[in-house]
Amino acid sequence: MGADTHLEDVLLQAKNLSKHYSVAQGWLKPKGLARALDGVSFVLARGRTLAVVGESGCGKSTLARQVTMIEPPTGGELWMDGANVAVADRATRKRLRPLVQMVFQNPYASLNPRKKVGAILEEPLVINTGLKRALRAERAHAMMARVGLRPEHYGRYPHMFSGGQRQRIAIARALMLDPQVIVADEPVSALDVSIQAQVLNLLMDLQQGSGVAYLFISHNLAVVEHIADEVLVMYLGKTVEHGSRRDIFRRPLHPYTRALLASTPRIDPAQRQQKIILSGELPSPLAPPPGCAFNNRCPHARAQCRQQVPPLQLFDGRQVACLRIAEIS
Amino acid sequence: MNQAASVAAPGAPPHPLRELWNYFRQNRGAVIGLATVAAIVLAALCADLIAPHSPIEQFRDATLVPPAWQAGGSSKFMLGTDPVGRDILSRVIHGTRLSLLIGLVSVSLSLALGVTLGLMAGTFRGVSEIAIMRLMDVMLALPSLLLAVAIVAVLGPGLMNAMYAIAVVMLPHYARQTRAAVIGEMAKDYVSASRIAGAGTLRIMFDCVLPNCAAPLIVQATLGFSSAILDAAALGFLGLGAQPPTPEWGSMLASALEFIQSAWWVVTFPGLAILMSVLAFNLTGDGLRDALDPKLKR
Amino acid sequence: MAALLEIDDLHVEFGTEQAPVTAVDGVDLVIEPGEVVGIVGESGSGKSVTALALMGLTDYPGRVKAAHMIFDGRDLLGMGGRERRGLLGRDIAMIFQDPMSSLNPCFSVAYQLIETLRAHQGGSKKALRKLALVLLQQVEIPDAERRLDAYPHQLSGGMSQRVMLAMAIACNPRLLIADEPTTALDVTVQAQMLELLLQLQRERGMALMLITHDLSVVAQTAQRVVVMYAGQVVETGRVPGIFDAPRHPYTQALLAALPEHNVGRGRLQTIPGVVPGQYERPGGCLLHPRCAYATGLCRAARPALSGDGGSQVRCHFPLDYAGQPGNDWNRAA
Repeated sequence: MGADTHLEDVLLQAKNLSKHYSVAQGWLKPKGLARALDGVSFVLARGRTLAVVGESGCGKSTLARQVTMIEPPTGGELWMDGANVAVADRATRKRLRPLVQMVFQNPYASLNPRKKVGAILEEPLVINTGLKRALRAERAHAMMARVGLRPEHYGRYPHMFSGGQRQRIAIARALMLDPQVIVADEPVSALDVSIQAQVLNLLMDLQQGSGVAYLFISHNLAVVEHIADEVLVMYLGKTVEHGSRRDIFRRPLHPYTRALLASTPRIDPAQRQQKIILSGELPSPLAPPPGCAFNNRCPHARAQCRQQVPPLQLFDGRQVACLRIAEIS
Repeated sequence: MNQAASVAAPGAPPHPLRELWNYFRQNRGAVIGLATVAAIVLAALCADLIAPHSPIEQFRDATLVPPAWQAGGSSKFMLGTDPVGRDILSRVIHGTRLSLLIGLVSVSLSLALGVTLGLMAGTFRGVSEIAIMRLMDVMLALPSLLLAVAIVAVLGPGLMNAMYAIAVVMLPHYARQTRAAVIGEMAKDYVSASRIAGAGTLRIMFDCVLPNCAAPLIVQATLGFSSAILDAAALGFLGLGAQPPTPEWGSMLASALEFIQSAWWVVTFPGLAILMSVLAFNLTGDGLRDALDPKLKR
Repeated sequence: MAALLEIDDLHVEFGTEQAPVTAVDGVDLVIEPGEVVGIVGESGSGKSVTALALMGLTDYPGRVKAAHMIFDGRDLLGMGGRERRGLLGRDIAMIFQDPMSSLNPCFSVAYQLIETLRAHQGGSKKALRKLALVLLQQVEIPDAERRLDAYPHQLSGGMSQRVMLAMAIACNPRLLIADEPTTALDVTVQAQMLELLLQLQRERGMALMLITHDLSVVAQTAQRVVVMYAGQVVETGRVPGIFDAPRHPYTQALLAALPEHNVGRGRLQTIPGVVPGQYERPGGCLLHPRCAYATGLCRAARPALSGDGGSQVRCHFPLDYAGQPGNDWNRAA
């Protein structure tokens, strides 16, 4: 969210987005509330990549489901093309759908095994446009060429392709409707290193060519460092740190961000940071600790951390949610 | 540098049906089963040509003639005749038509209805799922033959009504299978992908999910063929299915019970026909299941 | 000192006799007692198949052939089934990638631990349960007493993996094989797990064979690295030497493709093409269609593994310290 972000370039804006699930806990017990997403805000502009970083249970998958409108949010606002998705009616949501598409993590489960590649690519066109068969095929072929697939792949089934190629097909499918935003949920985590590099290059080339914005969800900080413009670190449904890639990687402030970076294995010993081994376990989203959600594992926790939920505040050029940030940095 | 991202062997990979056939034919039992099924279908199609006599023509002067290779037999009636002088060979051959018809109609009806119910239960969940599944549970709790008898008793005896009854009896199996498969598939990413592309519920149900649940259903349907034939035979044996003079194998058995000791051929050949066709369909169904899930054999 | 594990010319084939699919093609592996060896490769490299062949767990219809496979002086190939089972779980143990599917969901943690202990050493149920508790504490599971009676679905990924580890070290194995033990775990949990593995390895003098596709994990934990490609060993070397100056073009290209080595660069360096599948194994050197330095010799002849025990490479023109191909490559190219 730089000072040079023009209003017309903003494609997606989330304000305090929340998603709470009520969970049955047994016959006689009252229903629990899982705060999967609890007040997350960000702005995504044209041609930019916002990386959402966190581990399991942090809410990044929930965020993906909110942004792609698979589920409605329980609180907050999500602005897209002048409309607030959180309160939008069915017709508006139908209009907004083509604007946000998704690439999934598992290339082996995200393509319909009974459909040929051509049919998979053309499905979004069949649903959303009235294009004739010949035109659809033309578009499909053009997209296949853009992602590096060959024309004869049009008539093949997904199981005939490797993981990297399936991911290319998935990316091609996401682009068929010419979306403004693509949510990429761990798109390269399941791929080999050499294929990962190819697919990341493809994603960056496509972004340069079309100006599409990425919401890049990943737990792999090495990849994030390469591809992101902005980084948002999440823990138990909340934002703990949010700033530019350069700031976050050069000087991570929040204890959780620092632990994440320190835990990332590096080949070059000079790049390795002092190990910060977190104590304790990730708490259940049904029973988060009082005050700061991170306090039971944080090496810097004090009494006040158990009493007060830290607000997101501006510090050293980025947003941080830590009560003691001034003391510990 | 030459083309990156190349995948399969230099030629195009084999068509999935061809691949299926390759797996299938490695199972000798399944191939024998399929050949027998093919023979049955052929017999049904060409019954008028192959059968030496009409199945309902009664030869009054040739009742209870033994098979041709026994003393007293005649080459005019290769497998002998029944108590009213009808040629058993012709009746067995014409019986293939009826058995196949029974299998086809019962299974198709049952499949269509069962799959739809299962799809609805699996897609909509909630109250409709509970309602549909409990209804299926009730139907499963009743012994299948008794249920069929009860339905035929309501509708009246006859081959068509027997087929409806059998269709109803087989319904819960397809519904449960489909629902379980649908629930599994709905959780998969490609369904979410279709949803994000804007697919509505109907498209997701029939275009996305159903084709992926088809494999176990196809196997179930093939095996359902054989159980339909058996059920029809049972109903026929009880006099509730095909009525005389229809050459349905089960009703042929019913009228011939008293002759088990004196004229064994009247009972044995229709019984053998039932045995062989049920076995053939079962072997084919098993072979299909193994071929559709190659992991079982690798 | 005699090596703990010596595998010589291991071949593992699947498919039919007429149309074999070679998963492992002439792999040699030596592990000294107490050594940490990292086996690195991408999918299709045969690294997991090698470990399974060593354990005798090859899937049907795999056929395992080797010149010799000797563990602690005992011949694994000639061993009968009963003797093999006595060895597995006791002297050689293995932990797998997906902790959620490695534990039997129907039985409690205590039951599964005690089952392992009982298979290899006797004792009363009480004594074994005490031992199980000690094991859980050694793998740093918090609140171990309560966790003993938990079922696998009540445990997180990291916890399940620790239980797996407890089962594996229960009988003090001399060799622990870890097949992608941290791939399915979050990065902080991964760091804890690796720390734990190394600590246990040090305390017990256990050899550790760490199989992974993640080069950086290996760089932080292993003493020696074996790089595999398409069923063959292409390079072995000591850490950090092998990462500072890789001798095989594949190792060099793998390192170059890492985001870590591409900071500030727009595009990542990539290796063109894909790992050859079963039906596309090229003649000559397996890497030649993708190698930047391929020559006529590379296309024609398969290179042999050359070099001594510490550092071996399978290449006609191994790279020198500057990362350029040696052996008069300029003249041959």
